[in-house]
Amino acid sequence: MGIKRLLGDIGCFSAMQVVLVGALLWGYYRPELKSPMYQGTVVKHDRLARAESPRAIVIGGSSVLLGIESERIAEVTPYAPVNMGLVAGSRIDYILNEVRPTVRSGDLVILALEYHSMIVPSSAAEHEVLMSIVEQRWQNAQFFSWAHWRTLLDRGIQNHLGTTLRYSLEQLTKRPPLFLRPSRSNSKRQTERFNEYGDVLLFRTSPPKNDETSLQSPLPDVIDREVMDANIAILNRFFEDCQKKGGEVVYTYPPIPISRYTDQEAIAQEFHQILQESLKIPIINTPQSMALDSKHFFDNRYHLYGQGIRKRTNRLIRAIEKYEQTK
Amino acid sequence: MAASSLVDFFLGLKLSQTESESRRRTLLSLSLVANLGLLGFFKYFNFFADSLQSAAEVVGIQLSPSTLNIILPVGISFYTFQTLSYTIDIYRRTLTPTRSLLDYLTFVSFFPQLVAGPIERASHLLPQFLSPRQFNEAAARDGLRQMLAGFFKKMVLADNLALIVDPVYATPDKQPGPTLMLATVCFAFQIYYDFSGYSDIAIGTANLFGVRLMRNFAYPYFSQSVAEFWRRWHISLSTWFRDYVYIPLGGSRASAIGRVRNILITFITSGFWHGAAWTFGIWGGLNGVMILPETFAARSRRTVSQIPGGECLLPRPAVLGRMVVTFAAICVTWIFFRATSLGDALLILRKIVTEVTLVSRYQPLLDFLSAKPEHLQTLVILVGFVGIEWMRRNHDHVLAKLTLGRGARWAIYTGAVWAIATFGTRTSGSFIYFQF
Repeated sequence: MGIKRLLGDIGCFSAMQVVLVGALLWGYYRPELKSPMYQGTVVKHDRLARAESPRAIVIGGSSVLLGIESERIAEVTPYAPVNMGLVAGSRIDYILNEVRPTVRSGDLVILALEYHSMIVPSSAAEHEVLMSIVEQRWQNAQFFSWAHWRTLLDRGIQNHLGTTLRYSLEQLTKRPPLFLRPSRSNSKRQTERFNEYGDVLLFRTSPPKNDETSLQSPLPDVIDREVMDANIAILNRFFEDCQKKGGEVVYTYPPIPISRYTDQEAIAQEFHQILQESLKIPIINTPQSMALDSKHFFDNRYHLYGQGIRKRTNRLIRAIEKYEQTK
Repeated sequence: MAASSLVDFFLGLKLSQTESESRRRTLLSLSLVANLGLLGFFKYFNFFADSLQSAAEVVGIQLSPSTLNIILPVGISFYTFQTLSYTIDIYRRTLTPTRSLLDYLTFVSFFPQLVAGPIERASHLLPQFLSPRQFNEAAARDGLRQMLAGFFKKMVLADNLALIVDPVYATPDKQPGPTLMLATVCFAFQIYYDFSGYSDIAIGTANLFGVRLMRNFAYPYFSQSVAEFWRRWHISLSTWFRDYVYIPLGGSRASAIGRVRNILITFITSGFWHGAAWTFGIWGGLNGVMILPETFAARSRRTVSQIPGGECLLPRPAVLGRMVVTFAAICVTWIFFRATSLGDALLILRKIVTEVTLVSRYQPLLDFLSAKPEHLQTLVILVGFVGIEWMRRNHDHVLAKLTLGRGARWAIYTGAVWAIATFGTRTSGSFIYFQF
């Protein structure tokens, strides 16, 4: 009898907590309000499904999310562009898994990965990033690797619950509950933030927030060869999978402030050399070719704005055209 | 753990079957060599190799001893001492060995206390596995409350205090004295709540199974002397060293010099138990020196069973003064425990002593706290919880025997759970004592 009574009390207490948490989240939490940029995953997967081949699928992190002008690609190339860039913190395993199943014959997959994606273990995905993505689109959980699940099951889900509660409690102290505020539909929010290709529109017109000190170099002082080789192996496997389906894959360098490139030219060249030696994927440009003036960067070493986005896109298009001519 | 356990199980049986004193001593020695040998290899091999190399260099000899890439088995310091106490008690004829290997292995590997104690004595724990147990609702409820208190201490307090301590102690040369002082005080509470939180979780979990583990912490920071502190801090370890190191050396029956020697050996050894570094030995030695005055004092000592700080709601000024002085003395020793090197420890101590009265050196501390509001939150919660501990210091843990209605109790539990969920998930800290 005692154990039943105790279990009954535990059950009631737990139910009470679930109700309290549920009420708080219902009143104050919407993933699309907390992490609006992650809403892009809904737009991007929708675009990926609807666009007809041949598609130019650009993948990477936030430098792709914010720094590609897909309309230009649609204008000048025969490809239907799909901007799949979101956040580098999800790491290359996840980024490639998102696209791998849907590559079709004639598609061109453009790997525009950030430098640090190649020098950080793919298993070190940030749990908050993964949970924020899944909150927006639960189907994305199928792209998680076993290493991602280990991170999430370890403390990732628990820590995300804490983040969610902290955010909700903070909202509770600042604003009326959501059901009392004027609402806009999700699709309206999406069209304000993203175009049909999955590009973020916000940074195209915003004034910059950077100064030289905020533009830290994206390159390390020393390249961890073991980690980079492991990531190259992941890319090579992806390349082989795409080839089997008739798709092509190319590698392009991300943008980098000229001043940072100049400071670390030797490391950039070493990076390029390692890729040339080991990466099976055709590399269509060089680090130097994607070095841009600091004034084109928005708030950090990867995020472009305004004319910077157009310049980067044009250089990418030229590199693709040159590759097409020479292949 | 399997090797250590099996050796001691069979040696224990042999000890009980042997009457010859010389043979019994041989068997005990085998147990000591096997257990301490394993512990020494896994934990101290590289330390001895590096120390030997440093010592040789002092006299101009160049050595290149091999160091090994050894993974330290989790909990080795704890279960080694637990199994050693088994064989030593059998040798002393204060314990009859069990013939059931399963019961013995359960005693060694009982999961709530395996990795970080409390270090249980066989005479206390083993009989509980040998006798049938009934579900005890009151004990289970108290166990759950103690677990909740433990999780609060660990996740809300210890892990968040680490966010203050770690960046400061990582660069002591760049930190002003007041900041180092705050970090040291925060570390004192971090290690206390980390370890006592784990002990609460272990004891509470064991209660769910109807197993009583020994109390490991009894509000040590309300002690009025360093000696009293050591009667309230990590009780299972300090009593182990008292019974198996201090008393066999002669304890307090020795001459005055002998007692000093015995105390210092006990504490320095205890220091090295915590880690393979000279700073741990110095930490232990400092504590040993600090308890000497009370060892020789004639007045009666405050025991664990007495309420720390007296029975009054507000401590008398003299009592408060002694508590503050004792806490400050303990904090000085924690500097050596936490610092990554002896040089850093001395630097930190020097900066605290020389800069704590300089008003200008407090601005960086204010900047540090205002840069991260969560640090201030942590400090506020800390002060509040210390107050709660003071109010509840006559109980084994802060949530024991709450004489409130169900509504009030559930409100407290809800507050604790929500605090753990919101404040306790900002970090991903492991338990400090897991590394021992």
